[in-house]
Amino acid sequence: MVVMQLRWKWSENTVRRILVLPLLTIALVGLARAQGTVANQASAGTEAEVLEVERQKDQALRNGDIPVLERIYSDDLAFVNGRGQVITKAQHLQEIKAGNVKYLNSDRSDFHVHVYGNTAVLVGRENSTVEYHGKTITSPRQFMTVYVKVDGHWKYVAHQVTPVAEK
Amino acid sequence: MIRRISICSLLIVTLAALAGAQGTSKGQTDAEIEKEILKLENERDEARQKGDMKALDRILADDYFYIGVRGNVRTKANRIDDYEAGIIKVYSIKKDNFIFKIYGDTVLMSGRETSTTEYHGKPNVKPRQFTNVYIKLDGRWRLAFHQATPILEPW
Repeated sequence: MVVMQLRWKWSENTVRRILVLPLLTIALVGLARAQGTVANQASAGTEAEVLEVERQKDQALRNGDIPVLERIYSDDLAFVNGRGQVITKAQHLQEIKAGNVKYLNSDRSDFHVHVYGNTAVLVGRENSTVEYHGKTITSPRQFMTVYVKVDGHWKYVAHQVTPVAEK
Repeated sequence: MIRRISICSLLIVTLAALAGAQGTSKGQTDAEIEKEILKLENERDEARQKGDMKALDRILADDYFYIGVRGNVRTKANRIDDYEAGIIKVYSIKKDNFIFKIYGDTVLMSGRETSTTEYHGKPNVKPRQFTNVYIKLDGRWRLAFHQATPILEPW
């Protein structure tokens, strides 16, 4: 009888272990999958949000809409133009206000958006027509734009352009 | 009873660790982050000169995106292949005018580079403005983006 009870006790523990371990595994796998799904959905949602801000920014550049650019541009924006010059937000907006830079149309391709939490990096190729100090630029450029979410708003914090050289 | 407590504790610790791993890392001052990024940047430059692919593999993010001075686009695999094939040669490193901007787990490092390099047999000694985007991934800072633009006289 004693032997039977011991066997039963051992057997009960084994059953508990058998039940608890798969439950633990299922819970962890489920949590990881759920987080993965949420992360993917969040990433897609973030990408759409950033692209919408980018569209608004491009439209504002074409229209010379300074208030919209004021809102989207971060105060510490670093803008590196195609001649390697670093321009601040104030300088860039002043150039637009003064009519020194005119964005005549928007033509972009090979667009990629990389999202890392509250940071989104857009890279692509640009063939837009821009008039800069009376000179018309149509040659292709490779660009990188960085957006960071600050106080719930995507802010344009960095932009760099590199002219694509002929091979 | 003790076993139940142990299992519950294990479950809580595991879930907390899992949740924590997906959150952002905190606790570093901006000065500490700058110091860490600068150290990593120096390690990357040393690896570029020595052709140390193991170090580059560790420092560059898997989705690393490179835009060179000619507007050429390269991935991490492309860059490592180029180094291994001897297409890229780095003879000396010279950088200055560093500016760091820290946004949580993202650091934008910009500066001016006049390093002497060679790409496809063409030497490059001209000054260029660069931006590096470092992202903290799984607790480690990795270089995710690099772009360089030749510095020319303003119009």
